[in-house]
Amino acid sequence: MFNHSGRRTALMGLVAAGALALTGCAAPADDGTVTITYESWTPSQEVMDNIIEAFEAANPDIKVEAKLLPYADYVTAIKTELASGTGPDVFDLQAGGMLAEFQSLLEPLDELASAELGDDWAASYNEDALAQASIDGTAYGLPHGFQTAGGLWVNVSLLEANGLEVPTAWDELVAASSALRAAGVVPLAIGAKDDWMLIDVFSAMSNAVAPGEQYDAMEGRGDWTSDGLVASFEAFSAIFSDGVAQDGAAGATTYTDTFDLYADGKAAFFANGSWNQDMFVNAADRIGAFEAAVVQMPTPAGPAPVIGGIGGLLAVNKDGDQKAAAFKLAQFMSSGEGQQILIDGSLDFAVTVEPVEPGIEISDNAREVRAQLTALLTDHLAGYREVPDAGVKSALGQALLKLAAGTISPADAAAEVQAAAAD
Amino acid sequence: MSIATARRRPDWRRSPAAILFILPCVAVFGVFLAYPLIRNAYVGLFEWNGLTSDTVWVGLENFIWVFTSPAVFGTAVNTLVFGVITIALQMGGGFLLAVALSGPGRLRQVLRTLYFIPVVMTPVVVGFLFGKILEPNDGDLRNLLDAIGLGALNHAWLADPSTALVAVALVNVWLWVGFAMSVYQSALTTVPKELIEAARIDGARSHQLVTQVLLPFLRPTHWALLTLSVIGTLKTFDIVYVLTRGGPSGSTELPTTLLFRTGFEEYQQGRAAALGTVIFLVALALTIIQLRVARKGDER
Repeated sequence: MFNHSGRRTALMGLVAAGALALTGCAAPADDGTVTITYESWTPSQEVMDNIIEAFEAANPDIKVEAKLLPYADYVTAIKTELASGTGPDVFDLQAGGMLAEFQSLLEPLDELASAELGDDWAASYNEDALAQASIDGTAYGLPHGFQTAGGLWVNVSLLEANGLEVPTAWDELVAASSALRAAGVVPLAIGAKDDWMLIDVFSAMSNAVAPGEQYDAMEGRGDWTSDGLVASFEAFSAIFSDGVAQDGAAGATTYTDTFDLYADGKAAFFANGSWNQDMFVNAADRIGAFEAAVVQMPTPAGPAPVIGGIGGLLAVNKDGDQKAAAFKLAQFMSSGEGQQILIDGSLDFAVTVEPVEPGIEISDNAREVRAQLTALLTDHLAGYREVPDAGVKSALGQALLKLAAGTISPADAAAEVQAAAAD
Repeated sequence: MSIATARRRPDWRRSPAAILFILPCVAVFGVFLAYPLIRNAYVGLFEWNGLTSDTVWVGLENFIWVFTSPAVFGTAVNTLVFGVITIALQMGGGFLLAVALSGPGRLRQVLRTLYFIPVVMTPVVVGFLFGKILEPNDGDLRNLLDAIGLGALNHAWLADPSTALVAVALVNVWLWVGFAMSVYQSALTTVPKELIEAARIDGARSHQLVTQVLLPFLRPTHWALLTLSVIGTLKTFDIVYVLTRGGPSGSTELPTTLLFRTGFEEYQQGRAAALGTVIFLVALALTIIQLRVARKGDER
C-alpha cells in the first residue's frame, strides 16, 4: 500500500534514478560488460576480492561491485535499500525468519537455474541445504557454507594442564568448571549478549532434553510451555547458575569477547559453531599453542546433538535488471569455483552433494577438529538451525538472555516465547 | 493598549515578496521535518514489515501497544534513571570542571582539551573502548584491580542487571561531561568582573561565590543544557547498543534500542513507527515545558 502512494513513488523513482545515474549499473557499458552489485556481511574482504577476481576471469562480460558490512549494519542497510528500490543485484540472507520476511523481494530461482544449469540443477545440492533456502519448495536463494552449531569447543591442552579430562556428562562439566575457576581459568566462554549464540546452545540442549519438541513449537504443532521445553529452559539456565559460564557472560559478545578468551588460551571451553574453524586460517598464530577439539555439549539429559544450517543464502533481487548475471555470481559462490574459495577462507562444509574439502594447507589439529565436526554432522544432527519466525526468534533470544542474567524463571521464559508465538 | 497588541499584524497579501523569502525555510521544514514526522505517525497505523508493499490497517493498535506494553514501560523507567544520573552528573561535573579550569595557564588549557576530547569521539568507538575496559574476565579494569591487590572489587558491571544501567550512564557521562564543561566555560566568560569583585568585597568566600553568584547568574545556561540533555537522553542509542544492546534482561533498554529491535529485528515497522512518534511527542512536550518554566524564571 505504501508503495502505491504517488508522491512516494515519485520520490523513490527520483532516488533510484539518482542512484543508478551515480553507479551506472543499470545498463551494459559500451564494451558490452554489465556491472552487478553484491552486498553481504560475509565473507571477509580478502576472500571476497579473490572471489571477484576468479568470477570476472571466468565471466569477462560481468563486473562485480561488492559492499561488505558488519551484520547488524548490513541488515539495516539492505532493508532500507530494498524498500526504496535501490537494493543490490545479489545479496546474502539468513535462512528462517529473515528469508520469510524478504521473500516477496526475491526472484524465485527455478527458471534462472534451469536456464543456466539445466532442469536437474537442484540435484547437485545437499537436500537440507537447498530446503533452507526455499519456501514451499521454491528456491529463493542458493545456499552457501553448511555449518553446525551447538557443539562445545574445548581447549584440551588447558584441561590437561589442570589435570582434567574432556567432560562428557553434565556433572563432569560442572566439576571441571569449578576446578578451572579455582585455578583462575575461565571455564565456558559464551557470548550471551548474542541472541543467536543463546539460541544455538538452547536448541542443541533442548534436543537432548526434549527431542523434537522445539521444532514442534516452532512449526505450530506444540507449545513452548510444554514440560519438555520448560525443562530445556531449566537445563539451559543451569549453564549460568551452576558456574559453567564465565563471569559476566550476559555482557559478552562472541566476536570478539569470548573468541578472544578462547583463542588466547584463557578459556577451557567455548560455545561456538563449526564456522569457528576459520580460526585455524585467520587466527592460526594465536591458537597454535593449544590443542582444540569439538565435542557434544553435555546436558543434564545427556550429550546434546548439534543443529545444522546454511551460513546464508545468495538471493537475486526481484527488481534487478541483470538477473541472469546476478544468478551467475550466486551460483559461482554457492556451488562453483567460488565455493572452493569460500571454503578455503572459512573451512565451512559444502552445500553440494559433491564434497568439497579445503584446498589449502591446514594443521593436523584443524584436520582432527574437522573430522570431529563431520562426525557430529553425520551422526548427531538434530535438525535445522534458524528459527522460522522473526518475532519468535527475538522473543526466544530475549528470554534466554534473561535466563543467563538470572532474572526470570524457566517457566516464565517459556511463557514469554509462547506469547510471541501466539502474537 | 499594550505594546504587544499595538503591533501591526503582517498582511501577507500586501507583501507577497515576504512569502518568497520564507518559502525555502518552509520547504526545508516541510520536506525534512514535517513530512517524515507525519509519515511516521501514519506508518504507525499499519502492520508492516518495513520491506514490502503488504500492509494491514490496524488503526491505533500500535499506539495502544506503546502505552500498554511492559517492555515500553520498562524503557520509560530506564530512561528516567539514565536521564537523572547522566544529566545531574554531566551538568554538575561540567560546571565544576568549568569553574576549576577557568582562567589562564597551560595546565588548565591542556586539561580543558583532555576533558573535551571524548565529545569529538564517536560513541560507537567509546562503547567498544569501555566494553574492553569493563570486560570482567580479562578486561583492563579487572587486570588493574588485580595488579594493585583490589581484585575483590571486580564485578561484571555490564552483565549484572542491577549495575548495567548505572555503568552505561557513567560511560555516557564520561562521553559528554566535556560538552557541558565547554558550554559553562563560554557562559562564565560573560559573568561581569564587577559582579565577582563586588561579591568578594562583600566578603563572599569561594564556595559562596559559586553557589550564590555564578550558579544563579548562569540560569539561562542551565536551562539550555537541561533542554539539550533531556533531548539527548531520549535520543541515546549508539552507546547503549554497543555496550549492552539493551540487556541484560532489558535493564538498559531505552526507547530507541527497543525501537530498533522492534523495527529491524522483529520486522514490526508499524510498532516501531508508533514508538518513534511517541518518543518525538514526549521530547516536544518536555522541551515546551522546560522553555516555559525557564521563561517564567527569567520574568521573575
